[in-house]
Amino acid sequence: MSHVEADTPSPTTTTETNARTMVEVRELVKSYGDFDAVRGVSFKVRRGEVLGFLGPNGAGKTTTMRIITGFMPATGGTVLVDGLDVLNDNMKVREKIGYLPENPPIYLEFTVRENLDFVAKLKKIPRSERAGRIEYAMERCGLTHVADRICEHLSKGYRQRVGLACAIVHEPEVLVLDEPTIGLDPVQIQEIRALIKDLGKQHTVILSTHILPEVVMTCDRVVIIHRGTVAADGTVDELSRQVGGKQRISVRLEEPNDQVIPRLKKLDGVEDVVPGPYPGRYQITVSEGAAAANEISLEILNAGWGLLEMTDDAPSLEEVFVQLTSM
Amino acid sequence: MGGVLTIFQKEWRQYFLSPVAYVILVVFIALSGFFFFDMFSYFVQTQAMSQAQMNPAMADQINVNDMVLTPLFHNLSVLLLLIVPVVTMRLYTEERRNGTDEMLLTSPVSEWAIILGKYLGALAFYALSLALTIQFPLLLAKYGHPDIGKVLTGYLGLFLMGSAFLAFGLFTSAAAGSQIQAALWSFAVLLGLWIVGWLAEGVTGTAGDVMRYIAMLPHFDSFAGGEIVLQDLVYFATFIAFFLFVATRVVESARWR
Ligand SMILES: Nc1ncnc2c1ncn2[C@@H]1O[C@H](COP(=O)(O)OP(=O)(O)OP(=O)(O)O)[C@@H](O)[C@H]1O
Ligand SMILES: [Mg+2]
Repeated sequence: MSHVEADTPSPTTTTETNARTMVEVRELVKSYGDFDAVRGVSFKVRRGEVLGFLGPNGAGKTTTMRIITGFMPATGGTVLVDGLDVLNDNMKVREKIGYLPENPPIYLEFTVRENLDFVAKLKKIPRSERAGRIEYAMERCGLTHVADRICEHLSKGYRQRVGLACAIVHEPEVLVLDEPTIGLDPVQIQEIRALIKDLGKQHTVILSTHILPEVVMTCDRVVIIHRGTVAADGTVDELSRQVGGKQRISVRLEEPNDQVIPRLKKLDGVEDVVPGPYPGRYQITVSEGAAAANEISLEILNAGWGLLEMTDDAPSLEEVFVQLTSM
Repeated sequence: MGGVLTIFQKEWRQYFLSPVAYVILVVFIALSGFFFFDMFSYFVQTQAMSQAQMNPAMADQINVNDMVLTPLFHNLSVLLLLIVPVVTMRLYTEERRNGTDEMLLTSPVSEWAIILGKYLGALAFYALSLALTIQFPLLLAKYGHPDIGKVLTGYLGLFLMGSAFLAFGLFTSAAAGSQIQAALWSFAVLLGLWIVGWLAEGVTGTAGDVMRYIAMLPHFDSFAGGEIVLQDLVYFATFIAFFLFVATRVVESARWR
């Protein structure tokens, strides 16, 4: 199991403050009875970063997040938030964190505004700022038009938004979101992802999910955990390259043609050509990405096969994920 | 401590958003009224009989205090046994069921503030239910000379005993897995504290003394009889403080599981 070096500064984090570590998880262990749910997880999240916390069901994502937010203590290891220990500086850490648990923690008998008002008081927002913050949080989460509706009558997606609004109402430095898009319809998923991406501009975000495209779309960096240990840590590109292996190019031609496979196979940098999944489509495995692509396109044009489409099938995060979690 | 007030306000509001609260209020007032009129009509009958017999010695004994007030307070104390577990059962179990405990326990409030806020919310609701029954003793003023001092100590006793029950109910709500379990546990144990007093009657020596001290009813009797006894005040205060403390510890230790 190899780790991509987490501390190489990425181009977006050049300034001093940006590069500061906001959350540091060190050798975290959590046992439920004699079952070890988390076994020595370590990673860092820099200020202003959106970290995707990825793993199959039961990997230990929720457990890790509950420890980071101070909901439950770890069996071993430490978590530092902005340099403060979550166990020893419990109260100070809680003020810095906004947490959206797996099930949005809202009082169904309260209206959206009442829920936010309660949380705002609980998070010690001064009275003078409270109303403004609540309006702002509702606006950010698209709740203004349902502000006085009782939460029980809201759809799952809207309840999720209320949970998210509660998590951001005190403008926490760190946002911990446990599967924020679960149970939402595709339109809502897009909206919530856009919102998270936007929130990532002001907050440090840790987001758990097992939906891979979500990570690609919203996260700067990914930590993959599997059976309670870190299986990979790096940017999406780094992980793809790491598992990388061969690059693939797929082409779509006007008509299937017997000549395609033998002629393309002769080209430099082309290792294999297979037909499919539809007639006229071919999957080409190449060793030298760009150069081979050029050769292939020229060959197709010269032969007059009618090139309709040509795409670069970089190894997807799916493949990285499957490869890392099937070990 | 701001957290206590916030939690208190939330609990208070939640009571009135739930139909159960109104059922409790109606049942409590209706049954108090029933007890009152039952005892009062008995009193009126007895009084009429003694007047018919022209028996002045008996007329002395027939007064609203002994014949209506004291038994009314005792009946209300039994009613508490049934009402309090319903008032407290959802206090903490519902937070767990809804997952809102995850929000509470990751907010900058202590477990102690959460428990105290919840307790005060339940206490305020109980105080309201109790206050809504006070018209019954006051009605007596029209027909006799109720001892206002006795009315007040009786209500103080009911308030204190209810407060003790609530503290215990909150503890079971923090410890139990569901509302039903919480209600059954608090009902069973509170009933036990009742029965211990009767059992103690036949027991002598230290064991008997301990049982009599633990039993709740004897500590209430002094208030129902018009007295305020320091020892009984201490009993209730200790009982409340102890179970609020235990409830806090239960919430704290649940995190470690
Ligand atoms: N309270 C608990 N008691 C016992 N075992 C638990 C408890 N909570 C979680 N587990 C176990 O710990 C492991 C990790 O659970 P966790 O909820 O952290 O996984 P997850 O990555 O969040 O999964 P999912 O994607 O399904 O939400 C699982 O095997 C789970 O069964
Ligand atoms: Mg989970």
